[in-house]
Amino acid sequence: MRRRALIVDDQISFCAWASVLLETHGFTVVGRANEGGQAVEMARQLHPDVVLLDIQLPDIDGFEVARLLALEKDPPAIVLTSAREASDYGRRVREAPARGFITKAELTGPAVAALVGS
Amino acid sequence: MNGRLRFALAVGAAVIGIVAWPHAFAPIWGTWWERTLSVGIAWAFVASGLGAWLRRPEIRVGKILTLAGFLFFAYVLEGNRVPLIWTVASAAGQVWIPVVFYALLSYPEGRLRSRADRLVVGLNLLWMLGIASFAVFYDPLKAGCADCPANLNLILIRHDLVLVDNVQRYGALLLIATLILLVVVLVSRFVRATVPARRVLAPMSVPAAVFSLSYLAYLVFQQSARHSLYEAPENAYRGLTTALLVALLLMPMTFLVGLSRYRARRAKVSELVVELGAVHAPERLRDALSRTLGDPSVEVGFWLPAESRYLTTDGSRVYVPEGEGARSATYLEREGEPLAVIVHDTALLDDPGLVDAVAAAARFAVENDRLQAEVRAQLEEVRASRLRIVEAADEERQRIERNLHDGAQARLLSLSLALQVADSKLDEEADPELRRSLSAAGEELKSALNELRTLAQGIHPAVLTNEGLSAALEVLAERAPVRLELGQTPSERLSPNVEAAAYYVVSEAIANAAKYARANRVTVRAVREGSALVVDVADDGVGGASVDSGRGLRGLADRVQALGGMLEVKSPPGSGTRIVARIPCG
Repeated sequence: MRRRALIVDDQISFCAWASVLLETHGFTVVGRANEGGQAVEMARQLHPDVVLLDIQLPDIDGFEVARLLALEKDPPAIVLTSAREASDYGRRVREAPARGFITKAELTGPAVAALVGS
Repeated sequence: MNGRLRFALAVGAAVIGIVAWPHAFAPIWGTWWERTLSVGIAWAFVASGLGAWLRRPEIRVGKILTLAGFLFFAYVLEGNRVPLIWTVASAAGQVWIPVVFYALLSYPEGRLRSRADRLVVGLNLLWMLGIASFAVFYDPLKAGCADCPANLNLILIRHDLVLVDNVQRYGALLLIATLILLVVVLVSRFVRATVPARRVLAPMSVPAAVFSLSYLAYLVFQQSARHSLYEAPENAYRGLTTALLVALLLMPMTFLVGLSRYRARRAKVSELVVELGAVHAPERLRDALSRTLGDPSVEVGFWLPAESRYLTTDGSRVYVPEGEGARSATYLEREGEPLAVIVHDTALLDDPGLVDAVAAAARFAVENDRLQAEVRAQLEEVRASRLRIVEAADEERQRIERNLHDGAQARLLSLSLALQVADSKLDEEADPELRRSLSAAGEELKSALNELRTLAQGIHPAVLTNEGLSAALEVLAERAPVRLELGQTPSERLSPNVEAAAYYVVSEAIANAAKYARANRVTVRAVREGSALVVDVADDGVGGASVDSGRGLRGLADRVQALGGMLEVKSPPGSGTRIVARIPCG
């Protein structure tokens, strides 16, 4: 069964590429959000299994979105991503309610799949 | 030239005195010591006058006294039987009196001050001219002088005793009034004078009082006898005349004593300059001036441009007197701009040299203080601009890092993703060459992205701005090329300047430890101590580092100093290196 994924990133081109990546590796992309607030809304409506969440968002940052989503009943698996490295965010990455962090340079379908478990 | 003139006058007075002595006027006792007294008075005036002239050429008193002395010789030679001498002495024998009045009233500077002064001298001059001009109506032979030759009075017009008598009577009344006025003016001046003025007036007050009062009493007795009111005994006249002459003898010397009291104060001006040079506080200026000028009531006001008036050091207004009065103001200026004002006793103006000297010394001190304040202000300006430069540089770095992140890095990321997508679309039958090419391109791209990321981090660590110093130091610790022990770090965020400075100190110190010191272990600590952040980085390497040893520590020191802090490098060779930066947090 294909897992349902929501992609959250303020760059539309990234959303497009990431969609293709995930689609070819067993995910169905059910939505794309460009802002944190929009992301939370769409997650509540669509109930994805996985959320690929960029940290640098225009309104609230990815950590905040993750925190909000973690409060939901049956929360999705969150994979944080960023152009920067995990170490640039210090311990906030470790403390965030996410399955893990992948820097965009290392982003591949299998990597995401590995994080969320098969 | 003045010196030769003075010498000539001295010699002249001596000669005249010696020549005149045998013929000197001795109306009271007719004895030799009375003659000596007469000549002595003239010499006393000349000598004192020349002395004052020598020591204080800018004050006219000296010349006035000398003139009075020479004129007194005319009085001394009254009664002489040589017609020329008799005539001259008779006409000019009283000229010395207005001159002495002038000397008394214009003491000590040689200038009349008030209208009362001028009135007294004017009246006396009038009296003297009246008496002298009516000498043309007096023939001593016809007036009853037994041994006077005929034609003794060379300017005689006709003998008119009644006229001369009347003139003398009214003249005497005028003189009595003038003397009373003189006494009143002198007494009121002394009474109204403040302490330093009295010290100068005191010596000559006694002979002046004796002279004026004896002369007054003599005239009153004379007139009362004439109007048959009261007949004073002969001894009274003798006593009064003796007192008058003795007072005249002592008077010029007391003038000198009073003047010398200025001189003692002038010597203190150099002390004032030295003292003001040693200690710098505007309050001390007032005390020092008060001591030197001998005026406890002196006040110093400093010009405040913002309020356009003078204020004392404790902020109270200074009352600046205008016009004439007991208080005067001496202004200190610089290039036409007001600087300060010294309010002091008017008597001090009598010695203009003193006040000028003190004002110059005070101006020097005030100027010094002002220059120091200016330097301090300029230093502040330099510090502020230094800080602005550091902040501008940091902002620029952040901007570059952001541009890299949003621009080149973002595009390369997209490219990387595109390659991955392309790769994932290849199926197993695809050309292996193609697959290899794509793979290689992907790897190359990853390297480029890594390099770009390292570059961006070197330019400005994003974690420092976003997460703060503690998080940034943890990152440094993780990535450090040597083993690093991270001790205490600040729990709260500090201002961006402070955090940036601390971060760069630690990062540079770690880099040096790895690169130059060949250290095995580095300890890092950053704690708040009071109002400053103290950053401490120590390694166990080979030491020998210093701020100027070209290892980037100079730049760190500059940055820390621009924030008002200090950087210390302790690095004895062979004993490791310890860098301590103290950065004020404000």
